Amino acid sequence: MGKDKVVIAVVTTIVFSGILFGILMAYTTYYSPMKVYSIEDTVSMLKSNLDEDDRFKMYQLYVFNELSRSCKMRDKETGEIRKFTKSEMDEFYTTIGGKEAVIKYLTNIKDEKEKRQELEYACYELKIISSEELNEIWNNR
Amino acid sequence: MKKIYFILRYFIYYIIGLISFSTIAFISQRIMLAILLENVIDPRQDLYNLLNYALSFGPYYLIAYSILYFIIVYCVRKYDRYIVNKLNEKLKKLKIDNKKNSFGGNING
Repeated sequence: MGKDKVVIAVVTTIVFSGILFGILMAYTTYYSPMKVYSIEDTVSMLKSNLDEDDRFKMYQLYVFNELSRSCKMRDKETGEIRKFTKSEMDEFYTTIGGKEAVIKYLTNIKDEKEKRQELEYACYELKIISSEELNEIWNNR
Repeated sequence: MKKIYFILRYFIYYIIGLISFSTIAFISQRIMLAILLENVIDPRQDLYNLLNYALSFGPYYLIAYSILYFIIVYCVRKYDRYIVNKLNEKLKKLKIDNKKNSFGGNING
């Protein structure tokens, strides 16, 4: 009877510890600094304003969304960490033109096949628009 | 020989526990991440990237489980000693009671 109790206690401890540790790891991963090859290059990419290339805004918004979780970047080579202030983050968002700029670009695509591909790419790969927004843009064509 | 068997038994327990702990932690982590990212869990994709996950998260699981395992072993041994001491005390008491009874029997008899 005593041995059974010990086994149950040990198994329960392992199961609950595993669940808790998994949750902890998920939060750590989610809020950890964004790993980049070069902080300066990524910052200049976020600040660049290419008016003629609207598709580029999708990537900018994707990187911005990744960065906005922790507001920190970590250099893969040197291990240097840089924290961004709220004003810097706002500046990036303004340069990109926000989500509206991406939605505008997606709405203005003329070719239906290309539009579908871009919408799916933005929604399922880059995750910068929700599935509701995808349906809305697709239905309003 | 007895010592080797003892170590082997503890090692097997450690491995079984490590596999169970890592599996549970990994599933819980994927579910939590999917909730945070508002993402869909794709088991095929996860299986494809299993080696990458094992390499990036494996050491953390190993460290966490090793600490947990030693705590469990320590607690179980403490509990074992506590149970043995409790049983010994009960046995002592029983022996004393038996002695008293036998003396009492002689006096009365």
